[in-house]
Amino acid sequence: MPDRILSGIKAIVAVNLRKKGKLQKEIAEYLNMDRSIVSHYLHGRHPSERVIRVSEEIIKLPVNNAIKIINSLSDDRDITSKVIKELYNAKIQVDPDRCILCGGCLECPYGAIYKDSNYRINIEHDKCKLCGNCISTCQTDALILKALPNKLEE
Amino acid sequence: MAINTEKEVCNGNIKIIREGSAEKRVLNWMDEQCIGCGICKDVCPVEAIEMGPLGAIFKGLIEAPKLDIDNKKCVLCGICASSCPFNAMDLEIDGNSIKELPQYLKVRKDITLNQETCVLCKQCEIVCPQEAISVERELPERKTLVLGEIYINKDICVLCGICAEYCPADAIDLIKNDLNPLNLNPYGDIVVDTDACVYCKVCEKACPHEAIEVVCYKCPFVKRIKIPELYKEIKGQTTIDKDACVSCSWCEKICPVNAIVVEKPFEGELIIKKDECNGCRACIEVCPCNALTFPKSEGQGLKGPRLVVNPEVCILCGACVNACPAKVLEVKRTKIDTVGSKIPSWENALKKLVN
Repeated sequence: MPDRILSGIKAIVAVNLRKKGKLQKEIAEYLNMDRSIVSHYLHGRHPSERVIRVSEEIIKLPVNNAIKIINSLSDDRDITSKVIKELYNAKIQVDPDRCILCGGCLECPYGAIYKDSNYRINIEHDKCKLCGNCISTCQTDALILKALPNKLEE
Repeated sequence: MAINTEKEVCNGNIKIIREGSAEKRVLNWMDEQCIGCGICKDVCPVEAIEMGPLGAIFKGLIEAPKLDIDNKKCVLCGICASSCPFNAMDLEIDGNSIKELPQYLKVRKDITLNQETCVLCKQCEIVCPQEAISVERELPERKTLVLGEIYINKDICVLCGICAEYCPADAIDLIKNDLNPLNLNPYGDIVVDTDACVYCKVCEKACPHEAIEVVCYKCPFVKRIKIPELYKEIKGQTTIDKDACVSCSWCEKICPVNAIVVEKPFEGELIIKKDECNGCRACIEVCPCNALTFPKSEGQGLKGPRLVVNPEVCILCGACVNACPAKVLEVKRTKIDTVGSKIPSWENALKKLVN
């Protein structure tokens, strides 16, 4: 069941990428999957319409909730982070008005959060897998997932 | 992945420890240093600190820790450590105290002494409520300030000891004999300690037998007697224990030469609703500055005023407010003195202390 919904979400991402002019081959590489499956996605042959409907509902949720669900669908953080990045153009940001420098988030499993020479918290977005761990660790709601306007919608 | 935060309680002190792959943080709270002002509790962004029964603790009615830190709530941010005016809290990140790190914000208080100006009068040592000041003073011997001669004519002296009893400098001694049937006299001799004698002539005047002659040369030879100078003949040093100082400024207020400058952490006022005070003295016991008192009544049988504070030596820490069971006291702070790097979230937390 989670795999199918993830397929649904990947299919939506594939269609988005196609609209941006990406080739089937590039989409297959980005999502790390077989070209034939991407072809199924793009032609609406797979997954089923019902799965696509559920996937669309998930995507429409507020981004903080949506990423929790997407991350729970798979432990493959490469895929989940790519999907989230493509869907929301999202980044985790530190709100300096709220961050109390407690350092709780520094235990990022991907080493994407570090403290600079000023002891302030910073995020290395290239390493960030948008897993949302830090967001749930932070006691002062200082880490926020910020969805930037998607290039497609502009 | 949240890491476990451990708590260790040792000799009444609390350690909150969090060791992760990125850093090790240790929050230390020292019961002995803690005044129970509750500032840490007020600024804590996660409500991890709870105060103990302070009034009863300071009156010696019970033994209990002045506060408790919940390791399940504490995130080891260190705002408590940076705002504690009594150095009872400290946060170490990988072994470095954040109070030493310029990257952090802290509540500022300070005391500075100008040793060159200080006249070594020792009055600050007497008034300091925390015994944070010590004055060492070494004076030249008294004999360097006098000139004279003393002579006791032992042929006339009857060893009555009247001179010794009068001597203000305790400079005359009668030497006791080993009393026995072969040695009938209780005293064998009389001696003058010329290191102690100031040639005041009291013995000469007191001797009923005119056996003593004293000559004082202080007046004719006044120039030969050097007036001892501070930090030359008079040696000394004033030491201030900055960790123990609570910056009440009592010493500053009484220093006759303004050699001490104290910078207090807060500005504002302490409000006392006198009519509601039940006179339990908890506030007086808890106050680290001895700033509160019940004044003596003006006459026997007259009711004295309930409770007064001397704002000159109050630091507005709020310990009395926490200790008072009748909620008679209120601290109104208008300004906090801080130093170090700006951290917006920390400044917001400290704003809770201002009203």
